[in-house]
Amino acid sequence: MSTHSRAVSILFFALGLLVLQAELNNWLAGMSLALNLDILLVLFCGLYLRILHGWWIVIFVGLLVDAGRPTPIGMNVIALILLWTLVVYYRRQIHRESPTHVIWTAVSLQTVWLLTLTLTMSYGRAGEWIYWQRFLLDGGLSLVFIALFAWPWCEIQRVYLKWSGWDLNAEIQRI
Amino acid sequence: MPRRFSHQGKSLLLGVLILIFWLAAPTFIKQFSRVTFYEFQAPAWTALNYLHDLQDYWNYRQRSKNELIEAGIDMARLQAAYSLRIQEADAIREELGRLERFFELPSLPDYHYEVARVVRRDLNNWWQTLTIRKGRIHGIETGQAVVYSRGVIGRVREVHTYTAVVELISSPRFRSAVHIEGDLRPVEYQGGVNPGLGTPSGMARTIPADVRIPEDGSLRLISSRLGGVFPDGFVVGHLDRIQVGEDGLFQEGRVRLDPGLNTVREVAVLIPASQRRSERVQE
Repeated sequence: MSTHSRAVSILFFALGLLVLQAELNNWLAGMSLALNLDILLVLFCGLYLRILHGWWIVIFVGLLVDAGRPTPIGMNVIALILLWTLVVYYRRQIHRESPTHVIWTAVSLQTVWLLTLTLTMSYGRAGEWIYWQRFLLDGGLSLVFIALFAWPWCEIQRVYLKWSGWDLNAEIQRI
Repeated sequence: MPRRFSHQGKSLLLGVLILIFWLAAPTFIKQFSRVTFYEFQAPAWTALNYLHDLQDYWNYRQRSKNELIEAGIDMARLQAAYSLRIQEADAIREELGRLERFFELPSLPDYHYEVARVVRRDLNNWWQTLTIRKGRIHGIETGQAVVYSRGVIGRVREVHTYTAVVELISSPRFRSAVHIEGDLRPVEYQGGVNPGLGTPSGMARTIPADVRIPEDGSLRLISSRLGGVFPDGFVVGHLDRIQVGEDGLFQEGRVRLDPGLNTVREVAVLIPASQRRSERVQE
């Protein structure tokens, strides 16, 4: 398997996460709750993959996400690319081998993204308490989920790439 | 990528590049990419839904014969009751037609009900949509009304080849004319009050000043054909409390919607009979 094929196979992890998120939201809808795990779509690409590989994957995933949401066209692509850019920009400062650093990065960026969505999609409800109560509940649930699964999520992908013959740790040491 | 760029420079350059491309790209390219990427993933959602159906089927297979016999008896009772209601409805429709002809009134719009399974629910603070397993090839068009066993569910927002996206009445972007049962004056309804762990709700505005909530109950809001989307008579929700609005002329109140809205599994799209007839003529 070439490096490019291995990078493309990471795309399937992102697609799997999109399906998992949709299934969880289907189930949570009955309780008037919803999960948003967008940061997990870009976290691994930003922290571990080569820049061009990550860029292509994030664009593809961003277009998929954008097509399924009633947001202004391109909003999700741009947002995911900006989140990815932030992760890549600061990846020297982030200790990728430390779970705390990875979790902290994921949670803080997801909070920024959730706040952006909440402020841009308010339709005049930004002054209503119920709107912010829902934001706190959904946002809190999403952040707890991300805090629990961000590190295992990255580890699964790293182990998969190592298993397929691509040692990211060695590559990161060289960068 | 030139080697003199650091990884930070490269990431910024690539980020800015996609931003410029997206801002400069013509709308048709953006629309095309949206449609293409939607159709690319639609089979996955549909396949998942078929898997759920299969799961249900195997669940039903586990039921005992006694349970099935009881369900069969219940179904027979329901069928008998519905047969009587259908006969009654036919008689009313005939009478209505006779009166329309007698008074030379324009006839009420007739609809065909296209029943569809819900594939995906996307109900969050920002938007409230359902994806259904019927699309353009089934005659569904944007803007058509969608109902379910307990009343109005929403309006078709996007139509794709085999699927369609429905905007729920609990969505902040949903706005429609409704009226209070037994009162033909129009009332404005808007969705968007959806507390977490609570039932969905909306807001009713421009309620006439003389309307009062009965002491022992609530007022029922029903759909109105004034908006041109819904026929009369489908339940939208209930008004438990109303207060004088900001303008002081009308009243407003929170509309309690049916909690089943969040868990609905089957809906019906109302396709105008005139559209069906024109499609048949074209065929």
